[in-house]
Amino acid sequence: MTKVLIIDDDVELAELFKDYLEQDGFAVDVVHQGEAGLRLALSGDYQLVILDIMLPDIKGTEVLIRIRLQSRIPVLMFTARGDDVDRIIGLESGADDYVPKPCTPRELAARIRAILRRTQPINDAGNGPIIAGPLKIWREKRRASWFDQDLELTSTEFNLLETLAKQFGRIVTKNELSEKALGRPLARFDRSIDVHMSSIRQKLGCQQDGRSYIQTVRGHGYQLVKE
Amino acid sequence: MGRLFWKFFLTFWLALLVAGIGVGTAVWLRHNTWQDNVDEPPRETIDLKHAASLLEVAESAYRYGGDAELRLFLGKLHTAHLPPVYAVDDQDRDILQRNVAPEVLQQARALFLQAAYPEAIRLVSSGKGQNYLLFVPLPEHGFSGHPPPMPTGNSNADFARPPPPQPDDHSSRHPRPHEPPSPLLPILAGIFASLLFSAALAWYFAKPIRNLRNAFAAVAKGNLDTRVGALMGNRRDELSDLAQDFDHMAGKIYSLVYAQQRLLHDVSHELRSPLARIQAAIGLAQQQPDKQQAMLERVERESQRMSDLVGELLVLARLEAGVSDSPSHEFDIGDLLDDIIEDARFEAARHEVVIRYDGIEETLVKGRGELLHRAIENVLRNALQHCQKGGEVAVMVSFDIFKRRLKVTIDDQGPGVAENDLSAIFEPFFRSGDHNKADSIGLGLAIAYRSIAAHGGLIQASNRPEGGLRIEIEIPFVE
Repeated sequence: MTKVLIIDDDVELAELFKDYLEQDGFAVDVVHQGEAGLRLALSGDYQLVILDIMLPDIKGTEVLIRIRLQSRIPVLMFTARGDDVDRIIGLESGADDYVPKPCTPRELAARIRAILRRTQPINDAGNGPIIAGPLKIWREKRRASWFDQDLELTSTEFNLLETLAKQFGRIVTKNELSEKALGRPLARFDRSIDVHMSSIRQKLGCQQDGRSYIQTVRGHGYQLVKE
Repeated sequence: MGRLFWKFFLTFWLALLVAGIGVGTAVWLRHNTWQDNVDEPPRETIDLKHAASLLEVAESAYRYGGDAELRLFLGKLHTAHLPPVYAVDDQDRDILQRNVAPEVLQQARALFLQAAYPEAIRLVSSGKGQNYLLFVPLPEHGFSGHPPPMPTGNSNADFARPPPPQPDDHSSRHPRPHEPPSPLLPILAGIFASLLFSAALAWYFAKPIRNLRNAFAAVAKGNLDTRVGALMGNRRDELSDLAQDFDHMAGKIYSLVYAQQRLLHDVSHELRSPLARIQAAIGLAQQQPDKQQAMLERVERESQRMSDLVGELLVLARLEAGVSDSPSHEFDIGDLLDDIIEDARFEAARHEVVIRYDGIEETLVKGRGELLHRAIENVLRNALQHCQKGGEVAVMVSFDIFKRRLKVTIDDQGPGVAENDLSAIFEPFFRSGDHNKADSIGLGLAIAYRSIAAHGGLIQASNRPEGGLRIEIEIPFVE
């Protein structure tokens, strides 16, 4: 059974979600403090963390940054609906996705499944790695290397890079990226893909002429450049 | 440059010009009459005869007194306002070492050779071979470009006239000492100076006003941190006062807008929590029909909470806007407190807290009872919520007859508040350390604060030395 950790200071809400998700087939633990949540998230017992951005002791983004220092466990962030700043800070700090609050429990469960689906290793060993220029991706191990150096990627970043690598040299639309990497269609004014992409760019570095390896094609999408 | 600049500039310039022209005209007229009174009589004597008599005296002085006497006489002529008589020797040197323009001298010698004005130009010689050419260089004697006024029998009328003396030859005795200088230069200088002065003055006024205008435009655009005080420099006048007032206003607006924005942010957050719970409860009810009853109750509770929140917010907004729908009236403060405490006993029992209140005798005061009721009730409920289980909340009332003030003190036995937050607890949605969200909306003390302020009173919090929070309410009353 998939174990999920909810870190949220709203006791009643967390209990309601726990009730719903348990009925939906997850094992759920709830914790209301940031420090305690951080300890549990790093314990390795959980496959996914749901993190509220407002916590009484330390901020949710702070918890997230500290989780990311040690772990690549998928993190789903609760953000205030309509607050773009929170959302972008969350994604930049390494969240895999966000759910605006208030949300229905059904939506929450769907987001959790989407993240889990794309972070679960795929059993296609034997096909060998996907090779796109200096990039090598082993899907079954969820490992990627860049000029033979291991890349530290969050699961969403991994999925995005994988989608780009499969269509090496071609333009991939944002909508396709959103569906394949985030597991949901692109919403209007949704900047999540751009935020993740900027994070990947930083990890890949620049070409010799100063340009990024990932090109933005305005109005269309992104492209992993073929030399 | 704005319109104001040009208005100031043109007005001041015009004023300066008019003043300059007026003063100039007056001086000129006065000068003319003065010349008529003073200058004219001697001018009449400066004719050929007069010059001739001067020369005669000079000649006899030389003849009988020699160089010394001539020098003395000419020196006297020089200091008196009389036409100068030059005495130039063969080496072209004046006896008084005055500079004689070469053209003038040349003219004098030429006229002497022509014997044109024997009364005004003559040669005297001592026996020792020392010669002096005496002459009076006046226009009448053929010295300027003007034609000689009286052709005294001179047939040679069209003699070659020398060029007029250099106008810039100030060091030498000017051949035309009484002709006024050209008025063009002073007028030009006056116009230039007035232009400069007007421009400077106009700039001095227009610049701070332009700064202020830009600042207003910036504030209108939403840059509420615009300040102009620094642009005024060391200026100390009404305009710099205006700039200070502007800064004060901008600061006030900034803090008000900031407070409103924060309130809005807090409100949306506060509304979001019950909404999230309602949505979660609905989802759960759909998923597990057997829990529908419990979920419905939860939805009801949360919607009640939202309704309370909106109600309290409206109260707060009305208080902040200063709208008072409760007029001042006479009421018994003892009754009011009894009411509040009676209502609070039920809640106290729920929190397992005892209220200690000794009661006061009947005291009629005049004021806005509703506001006071709400304020005291909110403070008391806050104390009940934070008091430890089995603790005691004490309500005390005292009067200050002289200052005409009523003081209500409410003590609890809770954890108290951090010293830094003692004034912050009266702000909307402030929450101290413990997260007791379900119970409080977070507006009670903010409403109490504004109610008391609207009543002209004072409310303040302090930590009691023996532990717990003390809130004191002080309001004026009319007996």
